[in-house]
Amino acid sequence: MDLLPGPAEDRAVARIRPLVDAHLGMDAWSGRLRTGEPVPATVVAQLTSAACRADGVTEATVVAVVLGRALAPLEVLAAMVARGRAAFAVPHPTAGYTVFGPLDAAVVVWVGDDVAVAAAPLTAHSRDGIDPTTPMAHAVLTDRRTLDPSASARARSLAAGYLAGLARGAQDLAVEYAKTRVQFDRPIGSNQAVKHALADCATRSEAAWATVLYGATASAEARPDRDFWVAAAAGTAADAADANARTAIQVHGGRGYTIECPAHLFLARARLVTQLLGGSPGIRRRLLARAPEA
Amino acid sequence: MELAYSPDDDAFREDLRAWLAEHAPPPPPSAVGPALRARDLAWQRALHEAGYAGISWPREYGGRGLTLTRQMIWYEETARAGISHVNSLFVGVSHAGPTLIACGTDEQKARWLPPILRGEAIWCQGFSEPDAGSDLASLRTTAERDGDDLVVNGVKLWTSYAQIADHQEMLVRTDPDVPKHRGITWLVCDMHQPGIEIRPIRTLVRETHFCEVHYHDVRVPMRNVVGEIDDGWRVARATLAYEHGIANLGQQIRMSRTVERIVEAAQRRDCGEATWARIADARAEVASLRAMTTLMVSRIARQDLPGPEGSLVKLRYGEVSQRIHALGVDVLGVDGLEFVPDDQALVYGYLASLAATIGGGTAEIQRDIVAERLLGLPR
Repeated sequence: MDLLPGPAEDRAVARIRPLVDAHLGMDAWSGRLRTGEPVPATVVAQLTSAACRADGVTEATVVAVVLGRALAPLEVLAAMVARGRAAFAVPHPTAGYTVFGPLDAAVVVWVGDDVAVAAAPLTAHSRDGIDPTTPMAHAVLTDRRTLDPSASARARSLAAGYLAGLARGAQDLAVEYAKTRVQFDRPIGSNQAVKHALADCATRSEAAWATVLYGATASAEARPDRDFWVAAAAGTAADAADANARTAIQVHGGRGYTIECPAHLFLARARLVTQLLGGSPGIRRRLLARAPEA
Repeated sequence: MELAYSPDDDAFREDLRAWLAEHAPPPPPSAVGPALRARDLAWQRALHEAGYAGISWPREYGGRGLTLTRQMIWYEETARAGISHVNSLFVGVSHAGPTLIACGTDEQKARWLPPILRGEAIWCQGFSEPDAGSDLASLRTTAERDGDDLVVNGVKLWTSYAQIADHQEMLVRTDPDVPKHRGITWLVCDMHQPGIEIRPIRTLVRETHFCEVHYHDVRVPMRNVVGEIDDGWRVARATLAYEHGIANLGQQIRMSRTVERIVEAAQRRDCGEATWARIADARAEVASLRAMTTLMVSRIARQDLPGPEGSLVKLRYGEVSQRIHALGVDVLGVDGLEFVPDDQALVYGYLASLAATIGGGTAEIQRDIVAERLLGLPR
């Protein structure tokens, strides 16, 4: 019994860490949000190629956490599921599907408890998303091939991991600001109201991280309650990502309401990835489908 | 990363489970008195005779010297067997004992540790005072040197099971003229002596394990001082992390069982969608506690020492416990208004859960610890 990442997971993270540190810092995100420039295609390609080398569900999930923490483009996560360049999509009630990511690649489609891979859309209508850095479109998809249950569980574990990463990234952003922003002649982080909000962020991040590790390991060991644990990871991480992003905006005050502060990007990504998992109703349905082993 | 236990751990679990099925103690009497003392000591004695006492304590003091993983298995299995954990053995086994292991002299360890495991002594804790709660270091109970003794005067509060205890781990002020964190001493007070007056306090769940204890010229020999004189704050901190994390390893099992009982109650009562959404969230929250506990044990196995992460588990545990029990009494509807004097009952659990964000350091203090020691925010 050991829930901590081991050598295999550490190696997978080490492969992607230098790219993340070099290109996905919070200052770089502020610049992109100001100018509207995307992450360069070459960087996305390098991230994708490094991330896709993490194959097993535990390695891949721990890599997804690193990606979420740094707000890595979602198409990197999609590629880890599709095992090749891809976008994400969910069904839309009237417009076919809503696609997030590149329109000239395969599409990882989330429908109920199934995850499928479809061909690139034939036609698509671009939409303006609340996440200004992830392309969004309405599209018609064909050639859907449903993944087997263990691959679907892996995909959900990756999404949960990305959400846990978002929770931690939003926490890091808020904590850093609280240490440096001075008001009333002292850092705002010395006030209990701010301190306690950030301590709650840390508690949620830790809960999300622990549950994500548990879910990934339960998947790797093909435990009978695997789907419950991955759903618990998704629920815990979705809650943490949303609440921590909102805290990050609040702690930044007026700056948190500007386009160039990445706090809102954590919020938009959290909402987006939670939708991939069927939103709160989808996650709750899986939590109620069966109890964990006693 | 693995959830599977080693074959040896699995065998330990199976043996323990089989043993517990045969030897589970009777439920504790609700009154704090000789019957409870006899029941708790007999249970500890049985554990010791079967080799299930002091799982992770060193062998030289009667422990088994096994891993923390085995200790966690022990907590999990006793919880599964429905054995009440809040009892008079807690301070000796999970607090004073570990403190003595960390900071006591060989003579002190030999004197006090084996009787704890053999079920021969009950310990209580004398830390809080009427004017020293969250600000524990402001405590004012004094101990003045007189020959080979310290003479103790003052009042301690929230001392559980003082009525039936033999020894008390105690923090006292030995130097009033230095900053408050210095000048504190950790000592062991014999509870069977003149000058100690115990006044039980009735809690909101209508029992009386809490006490206010008054000390009038109570003599404590110098050899009962653990650590150095005036160095008690360091001694106390040595085991704070224990109280915040490890001592509650079985809780996630109990709470998971509680949630499944709520599921059954909800199925019988035709609850609406909003209640089922809360039940789904409750399952996820208890699962997250189990994962956090497993992660904490994994960390300690690698680093050997519990860190401030224990405060994260404690914070989460308090909140989740309160949400789950509130959900439970909501599901019960009007039956949730009926007091049931049984610590296994949902209504009792609901009321008792209110202590989960207060006892052993309030949630507010835990948040300060997380913010300052884990996140590095300024004091």
